[in-house]
Amino acid sequence: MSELDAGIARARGLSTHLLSPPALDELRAAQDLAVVAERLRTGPDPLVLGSPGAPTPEALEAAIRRRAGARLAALARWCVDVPEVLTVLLGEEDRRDLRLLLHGVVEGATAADRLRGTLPTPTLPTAALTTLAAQTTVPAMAALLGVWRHPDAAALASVKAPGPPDLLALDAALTRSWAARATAAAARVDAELRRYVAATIDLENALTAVMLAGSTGDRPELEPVPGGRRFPVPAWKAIAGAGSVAAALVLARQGFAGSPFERAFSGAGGAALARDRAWAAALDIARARARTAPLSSAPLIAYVLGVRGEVQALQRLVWAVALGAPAALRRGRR
Amino acid sequence: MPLPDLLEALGRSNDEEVSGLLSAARGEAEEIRATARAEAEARLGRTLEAERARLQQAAERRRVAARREATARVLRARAALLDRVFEAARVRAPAVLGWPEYARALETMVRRVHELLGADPGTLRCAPGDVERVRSWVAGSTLSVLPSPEVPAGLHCTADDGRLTVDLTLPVRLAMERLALAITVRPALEGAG
Repeated sequence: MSELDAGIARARGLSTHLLSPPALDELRAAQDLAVVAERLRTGPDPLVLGSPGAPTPEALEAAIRRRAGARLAALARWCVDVPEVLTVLLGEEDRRDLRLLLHGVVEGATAADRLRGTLPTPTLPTAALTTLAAQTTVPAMAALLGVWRHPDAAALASVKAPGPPDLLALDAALTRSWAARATAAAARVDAELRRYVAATIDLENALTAVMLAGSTGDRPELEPVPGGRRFPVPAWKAIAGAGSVAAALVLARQGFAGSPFERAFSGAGGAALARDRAWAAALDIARARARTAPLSSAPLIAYVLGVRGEVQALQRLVWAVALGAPAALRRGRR
Repeated sequence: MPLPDLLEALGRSNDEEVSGLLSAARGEAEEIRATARAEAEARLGRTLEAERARLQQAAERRRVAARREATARVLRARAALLDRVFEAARVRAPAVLGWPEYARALETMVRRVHELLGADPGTLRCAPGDVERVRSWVAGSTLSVLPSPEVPAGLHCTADDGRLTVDLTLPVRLAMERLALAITVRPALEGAG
């Protein structure tokens, strides 16, 4: 049994810890947070909460994120001899975390709010995320990452435009940094991971182009991140220069024609909802591939996406229950 | 023409015609006979050739079958020899408990399993003779160590409420490594006669 096989086998075992759709439906019907907390305290990965009884939504949310971090750390232990897998999957989580923290800094959100969507990983554990969330400028974050020798430090430091931080350029730099490492790492693992990396790069390129179409001013310095398959430079520039978000979404949808992501770029909501729908589609694809290609890296991909998916579903659920939303409205956006 | 002359002429003409017909018939008969003889010879040749090929194929089949049977006998004998060797290794497995190499390998296994499980609880089963040292290696962790007479040597780990099993016991390792070990030990076994 190779080291990758051991990681795949463990990922399949750990996947059984994730909440099933009926279990989530059961939680959605909960009367209050005490019931939700009690249910989450049982099971294979019980939630660790400070005190019994009804927790605050913030405390419950933080505990859910801690548990997700512990789950990713467990997977990392089993994949320690195949660092390429961790470079791709946990590197992507780091990229998402840094993106959220950057947006928080630029938008002036509180440190607690900036942490809300993040997931701790072995390379950015809770303490590191908390320290990053406490920074007030992007250069301060970049400097910290540099001190910690985080691979994305150089990407953040490279964006040095005068004036306020350029979120689009920072996002693109983070994606470019991850994509270069992930493409090289996936090439050493298997076709499944290569397909996943290319699809993720395609999605990010499409979303960046759609956002560019909705922004004012010309951004000739921005280009698609290499490593994707569906958006060569002319097609990407056509989307970015479409003139409106609606027109850009149509072109992006055409670029994904015949793929499960096609639907993500349909309908209203602009780039934000397209990102949500694309994420849901990616999770569905990963779960299906884990069933049809169980001996490839697909179960590893499905597990990591599943951990994030469960965190997002539970966060929505916790706040819906805390705010007393009707059970019918407690589902996520799809 | 007077009648006698006419009759004579007619008689000559008939004789010539009869003679010609007879000659043509003989020629045709000869040709048919030659063709028939050639056809018979060709048929005989084909029949002989087919029979020769059939006999050759049958001989080849018998030869291949005999060679295959001989190879199978060798392979069966070799497998039986390996079975006896691996069975002897299984029976003598407890003897490795005293080997320094085994102690080092066992410690590596225990530490690796400990690293993989992190702070997760788990149960390690090992030979009763190994319990003390395995307990010392995992002291202070969430792992419990149980003696198991079913484990002659090596380590068996269960965790995650039975969802995770890591079987590093000697019989299982021997079975898993049999192919590679067989390639390694076969020349020595056959060399020993």
